[in-house]
Amino acid sequence: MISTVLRTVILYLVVTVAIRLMGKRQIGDMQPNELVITLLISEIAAIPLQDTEQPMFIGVAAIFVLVFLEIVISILAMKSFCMRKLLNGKSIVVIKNGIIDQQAMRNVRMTVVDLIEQLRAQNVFNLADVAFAVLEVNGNLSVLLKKDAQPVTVKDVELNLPDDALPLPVISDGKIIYESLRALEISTQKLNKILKHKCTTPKQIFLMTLDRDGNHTIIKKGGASK
Amino acid sequence: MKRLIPATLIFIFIIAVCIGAHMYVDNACDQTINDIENYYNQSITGDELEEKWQERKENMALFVNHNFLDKISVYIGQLTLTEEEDNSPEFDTVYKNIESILELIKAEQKFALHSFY
Repeated sequence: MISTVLRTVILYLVVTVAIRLMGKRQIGDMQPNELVITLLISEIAAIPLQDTEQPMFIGVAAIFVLVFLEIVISILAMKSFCMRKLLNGKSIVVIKNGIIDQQAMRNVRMTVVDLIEQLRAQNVFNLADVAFAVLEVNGNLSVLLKKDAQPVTVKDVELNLPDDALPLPVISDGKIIYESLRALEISTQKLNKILKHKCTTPKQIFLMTLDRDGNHTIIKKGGASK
Repeated sequence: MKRLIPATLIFIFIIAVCIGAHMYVDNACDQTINDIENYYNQSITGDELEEKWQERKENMALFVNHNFLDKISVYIGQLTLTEEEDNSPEFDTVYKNIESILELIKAEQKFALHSFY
């Protein structure tokens, strides 16, 4: 029994390291080869857990060989267009200039219902509004609306707005995140000045976000945001 | 690219361990056969044979299916019974059984075409 627990802990660590080595990706964003590797890793990791008669090294070795292959293949795909096309396939244009490409739809075995469903997921409810729709290799549908259906942007109305400043968390659960302060190029003194102005201390704060312009949001422990 | 270096190092380490394991398991199987023959020639006692096997089994368990090792343990136990009991199984039969399991273990470690299908 204890060996099962130990095996589980070790394999958990091994799979975590393996996934970490492969890099961050959401399941939906995975390329076909990445999805295959992830499915295989989960299957292989389960074998030594279910069958304690199997030596654990076999599972661990197989997992790391898969990770190595995935990294090598992803580098090859990055360097070579042909390799990328071979491994991941290519994006398919399913709506061109507002017209559904029926041959392309047949090639990717996509029904009109699937297409409309995916368009709705992109907040497009009228097929006539679509100029181009591209089925990406990871299965997502990218949509470009016709000019008259596109929402108005700041550029369209020629407004002169200040640039957005990215707010970062600078205090989390009473602790100052110095990394964020460095990224914002804001000194601890300036942070303390803001806190003094708000009559509070870091220890009293649950979350504080700050941007380069000094705009901030403070959520006190057990309180509401300010 | 930064992920390639640790992944390659781990891959090389695993290949090295696989080669090492193949050599170790091969050698351990041969030594086990030798020990059984020595036991038959009364060069070593049954206890010594069992002790040597237990030591080897622990290391082999890292790379070999534990079922095989457990079966060999049972057969070695049967072999050593010949010292104590007259109605123990025939030595040759048990010896052949152990030999065939060890051959299976060796074959499992080897790179063979039949492993693909």
